Amino acid sequence: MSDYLIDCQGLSKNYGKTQALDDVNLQLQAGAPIALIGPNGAGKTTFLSLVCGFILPSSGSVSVLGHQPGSSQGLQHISALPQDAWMDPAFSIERQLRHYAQLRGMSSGQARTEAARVLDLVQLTDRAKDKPGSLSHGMRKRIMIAQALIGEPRLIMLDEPTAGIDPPNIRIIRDLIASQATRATFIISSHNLDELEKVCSTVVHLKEGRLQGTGNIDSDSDEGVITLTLRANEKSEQQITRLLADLPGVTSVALRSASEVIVEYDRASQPDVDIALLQALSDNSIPYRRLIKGQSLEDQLFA
Amino acid sequence: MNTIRNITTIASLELQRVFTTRRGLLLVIATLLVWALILRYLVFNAAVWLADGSAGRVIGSIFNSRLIESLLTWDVAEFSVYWVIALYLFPIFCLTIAADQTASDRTRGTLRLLSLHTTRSSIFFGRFTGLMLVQALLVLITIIATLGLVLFRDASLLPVALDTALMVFVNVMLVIAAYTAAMALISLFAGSARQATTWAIIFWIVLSVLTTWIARYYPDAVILKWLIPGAHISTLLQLNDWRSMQLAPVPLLQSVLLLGIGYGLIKRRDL
Repeated sequence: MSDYLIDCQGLSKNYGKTQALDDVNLQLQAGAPIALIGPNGAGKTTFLSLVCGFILPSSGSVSVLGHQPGSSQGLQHISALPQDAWMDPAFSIERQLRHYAQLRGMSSGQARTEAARVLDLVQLTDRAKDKPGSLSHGMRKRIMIAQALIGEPRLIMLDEPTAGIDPPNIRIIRDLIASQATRATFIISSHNLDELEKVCSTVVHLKEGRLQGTGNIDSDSDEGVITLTLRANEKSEQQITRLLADLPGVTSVALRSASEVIVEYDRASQPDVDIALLQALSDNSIPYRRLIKGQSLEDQLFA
Repeated sequence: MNTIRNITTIASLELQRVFTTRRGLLLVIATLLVWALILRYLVFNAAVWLADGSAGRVIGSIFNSRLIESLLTWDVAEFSVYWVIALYLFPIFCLTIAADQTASDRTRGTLRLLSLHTTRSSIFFGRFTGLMLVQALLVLITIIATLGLVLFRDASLLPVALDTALMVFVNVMLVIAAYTAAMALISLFAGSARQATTWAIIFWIVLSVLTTWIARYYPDAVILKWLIPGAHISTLLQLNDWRSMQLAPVPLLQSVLLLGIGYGLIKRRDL
């Protein structure tokens, strides 16, 4: 069996003349949640669909824990929230979750217990007997995540889990991922970089079907950069820039917007610039909303 | 992952779909109502006529029909009429009942969900098996009703009627198997149940015309017509006992061929 959670070799997928994925070579290890990012048309959904076995590669290969996607051995380990996939409208949610559990080898009784467990995880036990059509968009996403948690998958892929849903539902999904992250490795595709940053530690970046790179969000972002978000105040942009630039160890100050400042500093000689910075803000009565050591994921990738 | 077990699980959900959901129940009720009318006004009345040998012979001589002559030789007149109607009507019902094996599930993305929990082959054969079971139940209900008509007319015919009923059931199911397999294949390409039914009708007409046309210029190519489900029905109609099983390889081979093609396609298709 392969040591890798996912092992892609020269993976390509064409839809007619359109190349959705182009020669992707990628090996991912099991562990903390992985963010799959990229602009629209980057190939994120195509990549996840190949790993799930929904579609077949035009060339190259992909294996999950050493198994071919879609094979009976592979199915035991993989689960997913596919984009634009929805349940059968004819049956209740609980009946369908039980059906999925039975297909994963559980007895009728075990399937009933498992359906109740996953419904409880997504906080939708009270909607068990409802038909899928009666649920709101946010609830639908949660139900789809519930089906992805059935059994004991080692890899759970979520394609746009928070797209188009309200903050309370986003919070529920985020907490759910955090609580389940020790049991399985999550791969989350999303445009919501702030959310990804909160739950993921590794990032896979795709663009125009090509792999741009992989990296660790935490280690890459903390290299002598502070992102400061200010509240509205009376100081001018020049005054704030000058104040921060005069701090010992600061090498550059850039205003990204009226409220957001990127401060770069020499981490080796002045490791505690953040403390000095906060003191300076306090001394000059400049209120701030947030201080992040490092750059946001968005800045790392697209600034 | 146990494929046979999952085929059974999927098939049982199909049974549940037909007999517990509103749409399924409506379909069953409509089918049974049509059959109730057929049994009451066609089978019952025609059986009385056919049972009266002299009246039947008059009809046979007027139309000089081999089919009617054949029907007159049945021991149980009710089943002779049922035989003709069932062999034509159940395949037509099949075009509706078995149309949505995978079509709307693929459009909705439900097929993707299912494929996360079981293999594509389980889904394909599970749906086929489920719909065969559904149709078997419908055929069984109508056969039992026909048996009831036989008993109502002449209870002494029960032993021979049971044997005839079994022969009729097996043959009708074989015919339906080929049609259901064809619908399994068509459903892979259709976007909805209605589209699958429409395509099926078009394919049957086009294939029938095409094979007849080809056979006109290449007489040996007449064998091609045996690839079309239902091709043996006209021959089958003239048989009235277990000799009909001589034709069983035709729908069996058609089913195996169509299911084989469907299985090959679903394994390779993007969902």
